[in-house]
Amino acid sequence: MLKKSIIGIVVGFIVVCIAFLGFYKQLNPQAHFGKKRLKFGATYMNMNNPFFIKLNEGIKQVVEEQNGKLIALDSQLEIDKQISQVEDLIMQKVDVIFLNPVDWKKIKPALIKAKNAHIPVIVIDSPVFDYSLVDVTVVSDNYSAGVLCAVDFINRSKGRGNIAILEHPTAKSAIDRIQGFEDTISKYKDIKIIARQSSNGQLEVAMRVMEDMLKSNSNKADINAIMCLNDPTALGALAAVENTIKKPGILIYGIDGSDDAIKMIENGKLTATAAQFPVKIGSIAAETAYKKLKGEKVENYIKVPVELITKENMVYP
Amino acid sequence: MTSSKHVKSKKTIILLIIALLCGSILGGYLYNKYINRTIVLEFGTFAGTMYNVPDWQSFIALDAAIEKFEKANPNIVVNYKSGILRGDYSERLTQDILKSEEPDIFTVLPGDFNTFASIGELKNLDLLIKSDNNFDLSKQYNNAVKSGKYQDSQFALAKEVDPELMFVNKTLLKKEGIGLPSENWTWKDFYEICKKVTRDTDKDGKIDQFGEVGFSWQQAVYTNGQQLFDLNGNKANFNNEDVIESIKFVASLNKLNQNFIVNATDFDNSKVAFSPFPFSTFRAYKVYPYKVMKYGEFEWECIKLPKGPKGNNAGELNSLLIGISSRTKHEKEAWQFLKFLTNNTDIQMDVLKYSHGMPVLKGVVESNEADKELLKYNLDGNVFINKKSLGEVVEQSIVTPKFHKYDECMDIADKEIFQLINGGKDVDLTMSKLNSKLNNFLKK
Repeated sequence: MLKKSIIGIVVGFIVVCIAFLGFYKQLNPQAHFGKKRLKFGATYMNMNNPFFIKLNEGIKQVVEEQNGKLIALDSQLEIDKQISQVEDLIMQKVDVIFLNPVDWKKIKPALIKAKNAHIPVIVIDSPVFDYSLVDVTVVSDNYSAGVLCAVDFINRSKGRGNIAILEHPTAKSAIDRIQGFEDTISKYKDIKIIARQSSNGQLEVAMRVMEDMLKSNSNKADINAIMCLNDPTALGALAAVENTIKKPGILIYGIDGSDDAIKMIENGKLTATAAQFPVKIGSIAAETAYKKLKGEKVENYIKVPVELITKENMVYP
Repeated sequence: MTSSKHVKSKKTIILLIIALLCGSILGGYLYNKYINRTIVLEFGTFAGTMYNVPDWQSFIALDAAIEKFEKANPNIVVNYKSGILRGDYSERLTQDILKSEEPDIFTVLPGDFNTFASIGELKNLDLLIKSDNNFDLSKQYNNAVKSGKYQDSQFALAKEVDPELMFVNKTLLKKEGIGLPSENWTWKDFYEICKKVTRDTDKDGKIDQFGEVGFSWQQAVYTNGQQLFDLNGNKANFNNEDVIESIKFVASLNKLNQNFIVNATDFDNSKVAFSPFPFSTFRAYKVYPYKVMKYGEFEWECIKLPKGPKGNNAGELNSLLIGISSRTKHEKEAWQFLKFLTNNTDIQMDVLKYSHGMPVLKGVVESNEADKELLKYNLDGNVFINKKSLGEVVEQSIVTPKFHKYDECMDIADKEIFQLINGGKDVDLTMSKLNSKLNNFLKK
C-alpha cells in the first residue's frame, strides 16, 4: 500500500513537471534548453562613417536571424574609449567580440583581457598587430584596393603626375591600401608623391589637412591627383579643392564604394572608388562567430575582394 | 607619591594617548567617508548626435564639459559609458531602469520623455529649481523650458533645441522668375508659388518640377497655431475647424502634383522649390565640408516656415532633454551637473561650436560670438537666418503636449490622415470620426 502510494506520488510529480515545462515552453518559445541566447559585442572605430554602419548591419542581420543579441559601440576614434568598451563587453559576458580597431597596436591590452576572459575576438575591416591574440580576421583585400586606384591613375595620366596622399597610419587597412598604391606607382619615375598627411579617415579632418596642403603647395608643383585611404577622406579632399582652389581636373580616389562617393563619381567630381562590401564582411564575420562557438574549424584570415567603380563602369556594390 | 600610584598614573596617561589616537583615526575615517568623500555621478548618453546629420566632435564638447565641471567640483567625478549608438540607447536605458541600474542623470530622447515622465522614472525638478537661488530658468527660451514639462511640472531641462525652417531652392525660383518669399510669408504665398512652379518642364506629359516635398499635415497644423490635444492628453482636438483647415490646405498642395509622387531624389536633383528642414540640417549642409555631400548643385537658403491664418512662421520644436533619475542617491550632485550642462554660458556656447543644434540660453544666441558663428551661413552677405529670427522661431514654435499615449495617438492619426489626403475623402467627416476614435482611445 505504501509502495503504491509512493509510486503514485512520483508519477504524479513527473506528470506535473512535464506539464509545467510544456507550459513554460509555450510562454517562452525561444528558450532552448541547454542553449542560452547568445550575446555579441562589437566596437567600431567610427560610426560617423557610413561604411561601419553597413558593416554593423551585416553582423546584426545574421545575429538577429539566429535570435542573438548584438551590442554595438562607437569608439569615436579614441583608443582609450575602445579599450574601456572591450572591458565593458567582457563584464557583460558577451560570447564573442567583433573588433574594428582604432589603433592596430595600442589595442593590445584589450585583446589580452578578452583572451584571459576566454572570449573569442573577431577582427573586422582592419587587422591588429598582435594577430595571435585574436581568433579570426575578416577584411577586404585592402592592398588590391590601393593597386586598383593606382592602375586607374596610371592609365589616365599616362604614367606621369604629382600625387598627394591622405593616409591613416594607425589603421592597418589604410596602411595596406596606401602600400598597394605606392608599390604600383613606384615603377613610374614620372609619378611623384609630393605631399602626404594623416586624415584619421575622417571627412572633416581631411578637408582641413587638404586645404593646408593646397595652400602650402601653391608655389610648388601642382597636385594632379589625391589618393585617399577611404571615401570620407576623398569627400573631404573634394571639399577642400572646391572651397580653396576651385580648380577642376584634380583626380581624386577613394576606397569604400559608399553611396556618397558613387554620387560624386556620377557627377564627375570624384574619379573612382575601390568598392568594399561591408554587409558581406559583417555577415561573414557573424557566420564565422557562430561556427567558432559551435566548435567548428574556421579560417583565421578571410579576405573579401574589392572592385573599382569609375564613371565609365559604374558597377554598384 | 607611592610607586603604585605612579604606575597607575602612567597607565592612565598611556590609555589617554591610545584613546586620543583611536579618536583621531576614527575621526579621520568618518571625515573622509561623510564629509570629504568623492561622489561618482553616472551620466547616461549616446554617441554622436540627436540630429540626422554627420557628427564627429560632439564627444569633444561633452568630455570638455565634464572636465570643467569636475575642476569646479573636485568632490564629484562624472562617468559615462561611451559609444552607445543612438538607435540602441532607448532600449539600453530601459533595460538599465528595469534592473534599477540606470544612471543618476541621463539624456532623454524625444520619443522617451512622455513614457519616463509618466512612470515616475524622472525626478520632478520643481523643488530643486525653486530652492536654488543660483538658477534662473528665465534665461532660457520659454519653449525650451516648456519642452521639459510634463503635466505642468518640470521633469527635464533642454540642453539644445532644433527649430523647423523652410528650405528654398533659390536656383529654381530664379529660373521661374520668382523672388524669395518674405520672412512673414503666408500659406497663400506658399500655395501660389507652388502652383506656379509645379509643371512639366520637358513637355513629356509628366510633371517633373514640384512646389514642395515633405510639408506634412502636422506642420500645417502647427504653422496654423493649433494643438492637437489638450495639455494633459485627456481630449483630442482633431475636429477643431482650424485643424480641419490645416488638413484641407495640405490636401490642396497635394492636388497640385496631380498624383505624381515627389520624393527626396527629386529634391536632391533640384526639381523641388521648398522643403521643411530642421535648423540642424541647415547648419550641417550649408557650409563645407558637408556641403560637398548634399545640395551643392544649386543655390539654396533657409527661411521661416509660411504661417497659416491663425498661426506663426514656426513649426514644431525638437529638444535634447536631460533628466535626473527619481532613484538617484546623488540628487544634489546630479542637479549641479544638470544645471551646468543647460545653464552654463560656456557649455551653451559649445553647442554653437560643436553641435548642429541651437543653444537654449537666450544670452548666448544673442551674443556677439553667436553673430560670428551665424555669419558662416550667410557668406554672400544676404542674411536670412540671424539671431533675432532664430529667437523668434524658437519662441513661436509649438511644443507638443507630453502625455503617455501621445505617440500612439499620432500614429493612429497619421495613418488615417494619409489615406484622407491621398484618397480624396471628405475632410470634415473623416476628421470628426478620427477625433471620436482618439477620444475613445484616450479614455481607455
